[in-house]
Amino acid sequence: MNDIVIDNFTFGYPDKPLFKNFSFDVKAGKINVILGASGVGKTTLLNAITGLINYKGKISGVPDKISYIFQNDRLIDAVSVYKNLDLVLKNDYKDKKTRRKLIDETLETLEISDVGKRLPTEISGGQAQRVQIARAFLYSSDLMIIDEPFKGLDVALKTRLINKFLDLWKIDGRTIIMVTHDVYEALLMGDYVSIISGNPVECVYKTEIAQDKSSRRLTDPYLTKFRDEIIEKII
Amino acid sequence: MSKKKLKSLKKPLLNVIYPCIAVALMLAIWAIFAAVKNKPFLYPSPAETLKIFFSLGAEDGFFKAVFSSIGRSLLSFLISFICAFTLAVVNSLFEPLHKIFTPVVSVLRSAPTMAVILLCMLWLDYSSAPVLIGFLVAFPIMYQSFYTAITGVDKGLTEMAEIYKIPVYRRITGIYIPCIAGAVFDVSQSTVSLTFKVVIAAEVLCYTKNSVGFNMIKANLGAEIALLAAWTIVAVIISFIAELFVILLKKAWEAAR
Repeated sequence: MNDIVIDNFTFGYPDKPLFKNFSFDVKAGKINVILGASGVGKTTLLNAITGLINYKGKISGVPDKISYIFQNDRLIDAVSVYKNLDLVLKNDYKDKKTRRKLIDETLETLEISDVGKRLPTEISGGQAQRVQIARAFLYSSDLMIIDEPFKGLDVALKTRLINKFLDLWKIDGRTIIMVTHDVYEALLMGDYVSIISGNPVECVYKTEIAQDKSSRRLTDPYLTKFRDEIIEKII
Repeated sequence: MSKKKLKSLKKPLLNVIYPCIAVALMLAIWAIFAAVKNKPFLYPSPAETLKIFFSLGAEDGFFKAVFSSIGRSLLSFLISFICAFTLAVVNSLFEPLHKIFTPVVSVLRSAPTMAVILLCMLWLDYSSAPVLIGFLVAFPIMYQSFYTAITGVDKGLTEMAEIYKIPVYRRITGIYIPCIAGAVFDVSQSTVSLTFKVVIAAEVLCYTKNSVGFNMIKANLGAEIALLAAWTIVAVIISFIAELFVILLKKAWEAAR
C-alpha cells in the first residue's frame, strides 16, 4: 500500500474554484480524518479520489479497489440485506457458500445477524449504517472512504459502531479516509487529523494522534489538547 | 385448536371471507333491483343469469371463443409489454429519443378509444384489429410507467456500483431489475385487465368470429339479456384470472428477493 498523494488538485468554476492547487497526503494503512464545515468540499474531494468527477491536477497512489461508506446508506431497497452484500462479493468469490459464510460472520461481528433476510426498508437507520460498514469491509479493497457515516446517530449507538468499526479495521489495516464534521469522532478514530477550510479550500491544520485507539478517552488530557487545537482552528 | 393457530389462520380466512361478502352483496343488490323492476326480459335475475352462465360450457364453440379471446388479449398485452419495455430502456439511455417519442405517446393516450377502434376496423381484418386496438391502449400506459421506473432508479446506486466495480450485467440484474420490478408488476396488473376489456370491446365492434365479444353482440342482437349478462361474467372472470396471475407472479418475486 502506498500513500495517496494529491497534487495541485483544482476543481470548481473557472472564476470561482472550490479547490485551487490543493495538495494533501493520505497515509497508507492509517485512518486519515478530514474535518471541515458543511459544504466546504469534503465530499467533492472524496469524489475526485474515487474518480467520480473530472478535475485538474494529479492524484496518485489510489488503489484499484475502493470501499465507500456513504452519508446515506445507498442500499438497494428492493432486495434483502444479504443480497445487497452478496452483490459486492461476487467478483472475488465464485462459491456461494463461501460468500454466505463471510457475510454471516461480518453481520455477527456487527451484531446484526438477524437482518440478513430483511429489506433495507425494514431495518433502522443504525442497522442500515452497519450494513454499509459490513459491505465496505467485505469488499477486498485497499482503501476505504467513509463520508460522515455516523451522522444523525445517538451517542450510545455511535460509540458502539465506532468500536465495532475499529475492531474490523484492526483485522486488515487498510487505508481509511474519513470525512466528518464531528471532532469527537476524529479524536477517537483518527491516526491523522486534518482540517480543510476556506475558498479556495486549504489544509489549515494537520496532526498525528499517536495514542492507541483502544485506550483513547475523550477526557484524556492527551486528547483534550488536540480537541482544543482543532476547535480553535474551526472557529 | 390452539389460540396461536387460530390467530395465524385469521388473515387468510379474512382474505376469503371479505371477497365472498362483496360478491354476496353485489348479487343481493342485483336480485333486489331485478325484483323491483319486475321486467325479467330486460332485467334478468342473478339466478336466471347464473343458470345460463353455468350451462355455457356445454354450448358448442364456448371454449373456442373463450380461448381465442384470451389468446388475442394475451398477444396484445405481450406485444405492448415487450415494445414498451424495450423502448423505455432505449429511450432512458438516449434522452433525445424520449423527447421525440413523448408526443407520440401523448397522442396515443389521449385518442378516444372508440376512434381508435373505428380506424383499426378500416385498416385490419376482424381478427387482428382487436389485437392492435389493445396494443394502442396498453402500450402508452406501460411505456410511461416503465420509463419513469427506469429513470427513477437512485443515481446513488449507480455511483455505488461504479465504486464497487460491479460489472454492467450484474448492475442490470442486481440493481436495475429489482428496483423497477415493483413498478413493472403494478402497471402490468392494471394494464392486463384493461387490455382484456379493450380487446373484448373491440371484438364486439369488429364482429370478431369465435370470440367472447362476438357472442356478446349475438346475444344483444337477439335481445337475450340474461345470455349477454352471462357472457359478461365470463369476460370478468377471464380478466380477473389474468390479473390474479400477475399478482401471483409478483408474490413469487417478492418471496425470492
